[in-house]
Amino acid sequence: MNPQEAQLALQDIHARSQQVVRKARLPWWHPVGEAICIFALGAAGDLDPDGDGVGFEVVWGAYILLQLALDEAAERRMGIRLRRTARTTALNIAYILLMLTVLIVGAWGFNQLDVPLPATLTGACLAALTLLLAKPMHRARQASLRR
Amino acid sequence: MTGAHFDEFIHVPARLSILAMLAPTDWVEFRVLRDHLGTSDSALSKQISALNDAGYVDVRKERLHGQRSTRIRLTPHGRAAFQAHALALEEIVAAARKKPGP
Repeated sequence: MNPQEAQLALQDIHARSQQVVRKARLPWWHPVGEAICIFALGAAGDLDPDGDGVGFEVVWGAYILLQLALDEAAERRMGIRLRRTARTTALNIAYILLMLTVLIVGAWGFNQLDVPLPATLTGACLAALTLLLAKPMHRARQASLRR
Repeated sequence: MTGAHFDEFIHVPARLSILAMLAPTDWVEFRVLRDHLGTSDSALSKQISALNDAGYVDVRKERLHGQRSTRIRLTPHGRAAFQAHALALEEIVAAARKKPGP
């Protein structure tokens, strides 16, 4: 094995890895579906504020199941599941923390302002944030997998 | 396997490309590998079978909603072997750079 051959093999490895990471592009309906789910979760909070109807566990359970179904459908469409590394996990945790912060601040703020349908408004803010961050988050996840 | 190790079996160009595509993923579907490598079903099957027999990849066939799906993933052994091989290549290149010129 001469150094030129080794260099070419390394270039091929790099190009192929990049190629598959680039191919893993989320379909447009994935972030839209996520945004609809999160808005519905917020609206459910106003429709059933005390959880006397179907209950919070059922609403959150349905939300989590829908999220998992969306992820599975998107991966099936792409034909790829990107690897979960420590960096992608850290990125996902940061995203969840940001969403939770917006949820808590939004719910508290809208309640303080005494606006009607505070949970729905918080859900709308989270849905907008989901759509806004979908592309940058996906790019960041892809970048975290590049060597 | 943590250090550099040149693996003749992996170094076959088609196999190296397959492993490089699998490395940043949990799994890739057969059709995606075939389309991106620009190869035929039979040629890719042959290489995947060889990698599977060597314990470097795991092949899972499923049928969902009437559609067949074949997912290929690197095994821990395959991932370690691929990383060791890439490290060996990097060492060859680095050693050549260190050598003083004529």
